Amino acid sequence: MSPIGWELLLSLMGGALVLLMALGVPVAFAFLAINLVGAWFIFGGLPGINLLVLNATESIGTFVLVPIPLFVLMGEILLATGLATRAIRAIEKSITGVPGRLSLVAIASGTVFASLSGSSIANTAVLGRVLLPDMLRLGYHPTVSIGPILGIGGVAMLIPPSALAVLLGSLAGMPISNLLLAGIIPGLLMASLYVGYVVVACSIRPDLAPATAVEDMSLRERMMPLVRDVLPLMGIVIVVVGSILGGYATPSESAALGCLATLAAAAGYRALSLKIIKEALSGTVRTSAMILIIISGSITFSQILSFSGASREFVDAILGVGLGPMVLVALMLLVALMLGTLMDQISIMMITLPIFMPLIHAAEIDQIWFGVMMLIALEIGLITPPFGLLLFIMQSVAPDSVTMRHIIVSIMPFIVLELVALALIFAFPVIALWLPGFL
Amino acid sequence: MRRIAQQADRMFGLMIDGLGWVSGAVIAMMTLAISADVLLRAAGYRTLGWTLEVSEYGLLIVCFLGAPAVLRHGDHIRVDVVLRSVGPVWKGRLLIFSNTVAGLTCLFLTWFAAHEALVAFQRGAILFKEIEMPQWIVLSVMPLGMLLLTWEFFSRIMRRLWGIEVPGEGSAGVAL
Repeated sequence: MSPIGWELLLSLMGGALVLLMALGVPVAFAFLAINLVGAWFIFGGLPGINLLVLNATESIGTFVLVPIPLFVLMGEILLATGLATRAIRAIEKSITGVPGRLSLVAIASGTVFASLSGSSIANTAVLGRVLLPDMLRLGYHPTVSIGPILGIGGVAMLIPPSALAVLLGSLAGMPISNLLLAGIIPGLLMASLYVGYVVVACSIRPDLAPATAVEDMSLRERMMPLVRDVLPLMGIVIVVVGSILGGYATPSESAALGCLATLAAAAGYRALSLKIIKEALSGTVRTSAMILIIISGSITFSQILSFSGASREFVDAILGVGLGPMVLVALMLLVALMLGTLMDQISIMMITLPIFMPLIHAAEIDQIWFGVMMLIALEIGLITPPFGLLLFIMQSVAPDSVTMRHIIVSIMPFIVLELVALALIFAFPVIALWLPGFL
Repeated sequence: MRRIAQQADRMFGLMIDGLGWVSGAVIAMMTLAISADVLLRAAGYRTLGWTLEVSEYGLLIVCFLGAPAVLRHGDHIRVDVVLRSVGPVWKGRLLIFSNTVAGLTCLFLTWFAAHEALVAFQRGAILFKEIEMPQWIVLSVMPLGMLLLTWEFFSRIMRRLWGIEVPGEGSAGVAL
């Protein structure tokens, strides 16, 4: 137990962590630095530091975390082989005669890619590169060009394979299969809300997305690319989701099968080469090592807080106020949304989950329901000004004529739509909990 | 002096990048081994057995030996709210400060983690799972990674002071 009061301990550790992060210390190393000091004082000097070292090693060497590199690898293979771009072009050919055609293409492509890749950054970047120049050239307003791409880009965090859902599940001690499945319907709900918005907005104001002549092609010519370039990729989705839902594989095993299916698809399209495999593996190491070392720091951080008694005392103090479970969940989501305007999603999870999860358990709140809403709150943070990371990603891939002001204005309706989706899931938990109920 | 330091940095850079590639190979191996295990099980054959354990060790390699390569290319997440809002001089000072804090943290962890590995070696501790693995080998991964991270953090400070471009110290950050 800590020789100092829990309030002081929590303030010192939390305050020092936020200060180090704010001063630019990389997130993983800010945690490790605080852990060193915390372990010395809380775990009792040198033996405490030795325990910290053993903890850091043990927290990473667990099979539950295997889906993180493997889900990332799936997306990297699709990007490096150009299969993602081919799928977008095929979807583009198949959608015609609707208001805001290219915006709908962006939403459909983003949803398909979200089901193949666990990376919102990759989703946004590929859609921004492939579709945005055409949309702007044809005179699409930023609200229906940049907005839908940013909105749907974040959906990759919800729909499996989602590396972030695995991270959230493993840090929060949630059943990862359930969390992965729970994200599917909310992800599709958000895509549907975006489609509804684009169709209504472009019907009321056709100038938002000027109708353009579409290449004259027969129905067969329009649909063939879809059958050739998109339908086979759905086999990957079936392998990943089907193997979990059917109880044939754990999330780690489904991730490995997903990688194998992605490699098979790439080989089938004759898009695979040693160079591409090396490129995909290099990208995977960059993302995975970064996430894993943060996990090693943050798990020990939680253990120090827990061992000191600070977590339990804080939970008792909050529960003592007498807030109902719904108010408690709403407040926690509000904190995540507010932090989202300033920080990336991983940092937010690391800071909040050690505090939130004991509260969730103590108040007997469904953890999967909370996990899905937490993912959506994190996703909203990705596109919330001034520091939403996807805003900067969009700026880096968009043509020079697109300013940050354009991007911020364009994203506002989609932030509102995501809040609507969050409110719907808050009010009707079955949206998230129906699918995992089959496990 | 500067020339010797830069040559040493190039050597460490090669080692860091090499271990990055080892991490990539480990991920490829994990993919194939786990897939083989599932397919063998589905076909009614005996599974490999060691896959789970080897994958766990693989994650350690990706985490601690991949991290220096990630840092070398400037891909570790920094919260850059303050860094974005200050001028270039203060940004440089903050980056030197943050790299010093991170470098010292890694240096301490190198020392303590190496000590734990040495103790395990002297005790002859063995991890008994599917494979019998000397514990010191598992515990050696962290100090090696931390040593290379220490080098890279201090190397970034020196490169900044010498006016050499430091990857990742001007970008927005990384999202998933």
